[in-house]
Amino acid sequence: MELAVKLTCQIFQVDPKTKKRKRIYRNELDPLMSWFIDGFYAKFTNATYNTKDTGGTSQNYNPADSFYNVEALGDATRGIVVGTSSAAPSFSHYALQSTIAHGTGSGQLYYYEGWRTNYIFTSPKKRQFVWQRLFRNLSGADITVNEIGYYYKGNYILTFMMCRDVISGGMTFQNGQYYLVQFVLEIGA
Amino acid sequence: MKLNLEVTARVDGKEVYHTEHDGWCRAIAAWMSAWIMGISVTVTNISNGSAAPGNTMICTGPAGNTNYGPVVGTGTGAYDFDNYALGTLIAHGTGSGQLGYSITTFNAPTTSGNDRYFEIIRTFQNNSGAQITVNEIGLYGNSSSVYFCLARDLPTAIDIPSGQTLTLTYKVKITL
Repeated sequence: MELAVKLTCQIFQVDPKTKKRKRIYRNELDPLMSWFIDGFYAKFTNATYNTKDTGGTSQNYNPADSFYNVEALGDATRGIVVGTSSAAPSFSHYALQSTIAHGTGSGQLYYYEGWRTNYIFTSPKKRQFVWQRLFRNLSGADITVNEIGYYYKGNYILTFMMCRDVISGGMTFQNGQYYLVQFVLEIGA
Repeated sequence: MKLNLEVTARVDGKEVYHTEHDGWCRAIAAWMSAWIMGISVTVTNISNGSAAPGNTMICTGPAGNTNYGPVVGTGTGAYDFDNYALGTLIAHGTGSGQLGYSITTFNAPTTSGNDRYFEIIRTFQNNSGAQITVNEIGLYGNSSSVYFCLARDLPTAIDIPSGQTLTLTYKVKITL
């Protein structure tokens, strides 16, 4: 039997007036990071496990931890975050290598709220989780995004990087434009 | 990205089965939804009741406990993502058709090349006085004393002669 677990990263260019969106990037082989397996281990053993948070500090991940809430407008410390580094993904990475800050200044992107959805499919049988966040470039110049991550924050108020995608060649976020970034995790048979 | 659940079966130390694509079941997705998304999802538990896993999912089944940790059975029904239990669980004990379930142990996460993984290990001692054939294996989890089937697999029949031990090793692995 084939196990189907897939993490896909997608970027859409969005027109807020017409509500139309055009997919401009898709990577179906997106890498999960160390925290994902460390968190699994803590949960399965019901014991704390030491792993690095997004600040690079070793923390005891608590097995009772659960999702806290979605990221707020302007919060570049959790949820979907973007950056400029093109360094290849590594299990030693605990955060994006060069995060783009929230704002409208030079080299900054405007981070909107995030949201998440969960779908069930019966044919083929699978469950799909979707994390989404809208960005807008109001910096006055184009910005190249090379890395995208998802920062998980639990109710123990620690933040960990679940996954990090590096875009081959980068993706230009044009000045003035809106971009929707998605991570889609599927588990099925 | 790959999230693999590998399983290896050994009888008295000799490998008799290995697969790198063991079958996750719907309950693992329901639990992950609670954990990483905060969304409660109802699925079927091993007692054929409806329940929503919380954000805990403990697999440290103690010795003699068949409700959580790796488990074995004799059922031969085909795998399905909606499997909620083994077809026919082998009970703990030394009676006819029974196996002795040991405590579940773990090997902590480690990185090897492009892989990062941890392992779940349990042994099953056959002191029944006769050979027992295992046709199905699974991983059960405990979420607030409600038990769920996280994975089920149908290996080629594994014969455990009387006096010998079956060791199951589950490897939960991600690959860059």
